[in-house]
Amino acid sequence: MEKAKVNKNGGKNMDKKILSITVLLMIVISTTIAFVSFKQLESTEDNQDYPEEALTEEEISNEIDDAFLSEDDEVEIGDMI
Amino acid sequence: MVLMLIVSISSLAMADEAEEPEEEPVDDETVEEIEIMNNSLGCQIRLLQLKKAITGNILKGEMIVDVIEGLEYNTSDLESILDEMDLVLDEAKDADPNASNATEIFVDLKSDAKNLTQQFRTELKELLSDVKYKEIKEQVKEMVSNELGNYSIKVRNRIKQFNRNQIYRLYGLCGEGNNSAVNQYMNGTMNLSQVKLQLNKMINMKAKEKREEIFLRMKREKLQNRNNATAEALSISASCSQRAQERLNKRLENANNSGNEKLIDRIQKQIENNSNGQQNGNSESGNNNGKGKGK
Repeated sequence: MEKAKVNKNGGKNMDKKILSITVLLMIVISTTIAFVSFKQLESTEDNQDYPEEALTEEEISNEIDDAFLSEDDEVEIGDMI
Repeated sequence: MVLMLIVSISSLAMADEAEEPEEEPVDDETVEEIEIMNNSLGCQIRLLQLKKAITGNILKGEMIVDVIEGLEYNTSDLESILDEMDLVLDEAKDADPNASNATEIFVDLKSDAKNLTQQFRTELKELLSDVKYKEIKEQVKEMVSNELGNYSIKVRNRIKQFNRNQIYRLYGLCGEGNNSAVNQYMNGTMNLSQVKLQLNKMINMKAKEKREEIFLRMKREKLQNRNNATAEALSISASCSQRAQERLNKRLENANNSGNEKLIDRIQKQIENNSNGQQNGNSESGNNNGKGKGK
C-alpha cells in the first residue's frame, strides 16, 4: 500500500519534472531562435553598405554626382498657370 | 518569453499610434532639399532659391492679372492671393540663414508658397475657359526679369561655393590635396562635369581596397545627411499646424497695417478655418483616444 503511494508520489514528481524540463526546453529554444534571427538581421544590416561585387565606374560616378549640386538647381513651388 | 516580447512590442506600437500627431508630413522633395541645410551656406542656398521661386511666381501672377484684367474679368481674388504671396516673400527675405530654425522656416514658407501657387492656379482655371487658359499660358511663358536674374546669379555663386567645398572634401577623402581643380572650377576654366570626371578617374585609378573605402565613406556621409534630414523633417512636421496659425496671425497684423481689406478678409477666413479644423481634430483625436482606452 505504502509502496504504491510512494510510486504514485514518485510518478507525480516525475510528471512535474518532465513538465518543467519541457517548459525550460521551450524557453531555451525560443531564446536561441530569437537570438539567432536577431544576429542574422544585425549582420544583414551591417553588410548592407558593403558592395558584394566589384564596384563599377557607374556606382562611383553616381556617388560623386550626389555629392554636388547642379548650378541650375532650383526649389520647386509649382507653376502659376 | 516570445509571447511577452510580442505583447510588449505590440503595446509599444499601439502607444506610438495613439501619441502620433496628425500632421502633414514633409514631402520627399523637401526632405532632399534640407539635406544640405546642416550649415549656413546650405541654408543660404535654399532660402535664396525659395525667394527666387516666390518672386518668379509673383511676377508671373501679376502678368496674368494684367492680361485678364484687360479682358474684363474680376481679378480681386487672384490679387489677394498675390498680396499674401508678397507677405510670404517678405518673411523669406527676413529669414536668417544662420538661425537655428532656418530649416523650419524654409519648410514652412515653401509649403505656404506652394499652397498659394496652387490656389492661384485653381482660381484661374475656374475663372477662364480652357482655351483662354492655354492662350494666356502661352503669353506668359517666357518671362524675363532683372530681379530674377539677380537671384539666379546669387544662387549660382553660392552653389559654386558649395561645390568648391565638396571638391575639397572628396579630394581629402582620396588623400589628395588638389587645389588646382578647385581654382579651375572657381575661375570657370573647368566646369562641374569636368571636375566630376577628373574625380571619377582619380578614384578608379586607386587600388581596389582604397576605392571601396572612398566609396563607402561617400555613401555613409550621404546616408548620414539623409537620416538627419529625415529626422529634422519629422520634428518639423510635428508642430506645423501651430506654427501655421502663428504665421497667419503675424500676416493678419501686417495686412491690418497695410489696410488691405480683401487680404485681411482672406487671412481671417484662413485663421477661422484652421481653428475649426484644429477643434474638429482635437475632438476626433479625443474620440479616438477614448476608443483606444476602451479597448
